[in-house]
Amino acid sequence: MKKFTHLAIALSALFLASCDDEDGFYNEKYIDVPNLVQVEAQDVYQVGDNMYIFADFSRYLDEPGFSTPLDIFKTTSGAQGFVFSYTFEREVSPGVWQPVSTTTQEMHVVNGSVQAGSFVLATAVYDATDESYEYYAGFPLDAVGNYRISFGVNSDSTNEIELRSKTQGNNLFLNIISGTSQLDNSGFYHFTVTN
Amino acid sequence: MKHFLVGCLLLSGIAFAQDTESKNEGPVASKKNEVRIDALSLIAFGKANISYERFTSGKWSYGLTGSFTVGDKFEEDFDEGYRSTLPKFEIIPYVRYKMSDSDAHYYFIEGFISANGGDFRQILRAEDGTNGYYMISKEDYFSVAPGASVGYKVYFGHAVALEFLVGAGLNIMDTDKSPDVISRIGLNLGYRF
Repeated sequence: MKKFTHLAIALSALFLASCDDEDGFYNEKYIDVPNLVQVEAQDVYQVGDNMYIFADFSRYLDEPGFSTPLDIFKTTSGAQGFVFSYTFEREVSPGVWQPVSTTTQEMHVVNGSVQAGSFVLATAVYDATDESYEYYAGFPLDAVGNYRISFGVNSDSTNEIELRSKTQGNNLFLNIISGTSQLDNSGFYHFTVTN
Repeated sequence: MKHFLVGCLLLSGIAFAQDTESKNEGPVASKKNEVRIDALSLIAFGKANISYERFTSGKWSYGLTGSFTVGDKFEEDFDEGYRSTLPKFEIIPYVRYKMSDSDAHYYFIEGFISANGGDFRQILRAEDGTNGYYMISKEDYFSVAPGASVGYKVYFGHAVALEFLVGAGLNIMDTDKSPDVISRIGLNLGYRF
């Protein structure tokens, strides 16, 4: 009976291990394409200015390791946008950062679409005319101080920005990991607003 | 497929060899056939699981389980990308050895070979001449998984069987497409005649 118990335990363990065999997300594809999103840097920011973030990338992207461009529009079965997020923080006392909230109405949206609150959910919207995804929106700067921007609000990335396709139905979701040199080692873009 | 057929023949040979034993048999043992359905798989996994078992005069028995998907859950999970395989059918010849002398309730061990098949999905990069694109590719798979199980069976009224079974097998064909492990778990209700 002791041998039987051992055998039962071993087979049960094997069965339980098999339960995880199918865990995963098989509609997701990840690729790396650098510099798709940028902070529009300027020398001086003053109260009343907007801090602009922009993205303008073709549906045909060079993909490392492949000789042909990747058609991200076709890959996503015609996704009408790519979503990414970012947040603004202001230094309220030395080393203490506090999120800066705004509203969708207060954002200055030139291209793409935005949902704003304690963070900005940005969508680079597909423009069929020039076959590209575009986003260009300004965040209002209402107070003096030191600011920092992070793109890691909905991800674990620090110096990378994650863009996810707005894929419909059960089609393929494309996640683009876009490295950028604009962020520091902690994943922040720093700037100062003066009067 | 060749290995699968050879395995079936070996198992059948062992089982038939045991059929020649004879002794005084009780009300359960005198009934040599049993059919079962797996209530657990049907409710929990949407899989219809039907088994037949033939008992020898000794401690051995042998049989066949047929399993196929009847519910939408697996298919929905497959389409939504939560699983890479969609098992569609399973045919399992098995041979069992009873671990005790009682016919009314006993533990048993089982060796089986699962012939299983279904759909497999993966993401491939394709070319349309000038550009590449990723697509979801779906293909069939067929594999064979030798495995083992343990179980407990109890009879009510010398004919109604309740059986719990747990086991697993490893697929050895089409391993890049088929599931690595085939689980065999069931809560079976049966009738012995």
